[in-house]
Amino acid sequence: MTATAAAPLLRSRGLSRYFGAVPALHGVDLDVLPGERRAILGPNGAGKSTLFNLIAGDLAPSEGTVELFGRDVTVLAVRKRARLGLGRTYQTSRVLGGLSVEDNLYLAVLGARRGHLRVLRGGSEGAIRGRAHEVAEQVGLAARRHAVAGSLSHGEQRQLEIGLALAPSPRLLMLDEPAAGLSRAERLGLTKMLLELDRAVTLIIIEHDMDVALTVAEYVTMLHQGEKLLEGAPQEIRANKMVHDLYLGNTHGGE
Amino acid sequence: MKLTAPLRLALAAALVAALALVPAVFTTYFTSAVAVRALVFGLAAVSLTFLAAYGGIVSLAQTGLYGIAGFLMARFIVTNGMDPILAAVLAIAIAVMFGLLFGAIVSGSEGIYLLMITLALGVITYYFFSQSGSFGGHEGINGVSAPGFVGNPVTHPAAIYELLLACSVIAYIGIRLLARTNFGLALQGVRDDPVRMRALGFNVRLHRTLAFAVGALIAALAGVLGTWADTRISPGTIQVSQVIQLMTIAVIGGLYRIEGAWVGALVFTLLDTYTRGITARFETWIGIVLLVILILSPDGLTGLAHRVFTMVAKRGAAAPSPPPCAPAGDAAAALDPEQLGTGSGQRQVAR
Repeated sequence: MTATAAAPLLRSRGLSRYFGAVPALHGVDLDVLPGERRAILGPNGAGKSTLFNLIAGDLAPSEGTVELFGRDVTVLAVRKRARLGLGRTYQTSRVLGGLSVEDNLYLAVLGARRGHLRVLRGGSEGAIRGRAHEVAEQVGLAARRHAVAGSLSHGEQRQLEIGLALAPSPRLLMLDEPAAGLSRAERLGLTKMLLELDRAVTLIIIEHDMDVALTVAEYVTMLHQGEKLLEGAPQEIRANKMVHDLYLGNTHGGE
Repeated sequence: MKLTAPLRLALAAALVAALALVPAVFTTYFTSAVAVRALVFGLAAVSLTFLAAYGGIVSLAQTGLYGIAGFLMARFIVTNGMDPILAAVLAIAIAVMFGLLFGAIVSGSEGIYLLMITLALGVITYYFFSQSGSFGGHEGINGVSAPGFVGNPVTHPAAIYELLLACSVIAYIGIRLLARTNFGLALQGVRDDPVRMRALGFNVRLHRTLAFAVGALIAALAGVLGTWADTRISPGTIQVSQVIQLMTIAVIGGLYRIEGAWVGALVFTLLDTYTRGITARFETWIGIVLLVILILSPDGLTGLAHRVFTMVAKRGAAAPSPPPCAPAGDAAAALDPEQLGTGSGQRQVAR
């Protein structure tokens, strides 16, 4: 981490979400600087996906605030946060199963632009198609451009899932377990792609695969039972005994 | 045996040309009782199929929108003495406004709730017209005159038939073109995964609402033409049994292929017209035939035809990996029935 005084790109204060009386997330303060690569780690039920859903707006917080790009977005609709420059993936792929890979990416690019309702061929269509091709290349789906997304293999759907988040050129990219269910070769490909990611994009990644997460991330936030346990560089996290007991020592036991 | 785009176009043009000859070849009775009715049903049903295939919205409000346009136009012509074409345009415009209103109401709902809300809208429309004195109550409105060039549709159905055919072709091409626009693609995205579409920055409710307005436009067109063809409209035209009938037509044709609407309408009209002469229990027999179609093919007759065609094409292909039946071109890929969930028609309806 450099010692610049840059304003955080994402900032949460006292972020909490209760399901009934049960806190899924409790009082989480998070500051993510522009260009940072941040991993959110923690055992199952630690509140990682809840945190993502609160930041993206899929869930409303019970308490606390979320600021994105220097603006309070606590009550802003999901689609408006997306248009501010937030791209995300889901733990379970949410691709547009009835459309081709190319049309999936076309819509992902279009989403951040004007002209959602256009029924005449506009001048921007070529530019959007061009960007869609570029992303198809980037996530390794160029050869599958015309395939219907619903017919893709699991690994290909995970690639497309990342493509959908990347296509609008977001300022903040949030990946929820991108390596889940991928083969070893696919995980290596994913890691390489994330390392090559433009520094203009800030990355927050939830990942159970330590090789992927601790290779990509420069800074780690550990969650446990809905609360922030500790933060630090990957080597500190690897060395921390508490983390080992809670989580790392346990990874081979399953998810 | 692969159909290229120009070949498809030529076949479609030949089909339309052949259909245009129906009044010249068949009797006036057939033209009036089967052909005209099938086209009215087909146009009404495609408003439903469009919403289902591209928006994932199964709507039972389409007969209601048909009725709004039909009743308003009938009243404008009969009571206000308005020119039939002007009356039709005005009635369609008002029906589209109602479509926007209905769409705004249902756009936040999905699945069974959406189905029930649209049913309620359809039923409310029926009761409104059946109990409203200014729309003739149970009698409805009789003696609705069509524009001059249509003549008398009852004695000379050829003109209204050709008009219906032209409007059907325009509706079909219009829907196919709309599907490739930004709006059409986004609508299909909303059908596939509204959560993802929101996360991409799209206004899901707005897309559903506008789709409903497009469906209303088609249903209203059917209402106007159907009322011209019948020279009358009564609440019986839009009662609950008609709502179910329209749904049946759309489903037996295939809810996920727009051409299915017309196929379903033709099969239904033929059965409805000719089984009456054979057996007094024709309604039971129609029910059984429809049941068999749906059991054999959950995605209707067009789904069945597609599977048969695919099988024949595969058998004909010598290559080790047979090419997919649908051309790889953009337009064709978007409309490739496979993507709409072949064989899972029923599940999609229930979704």
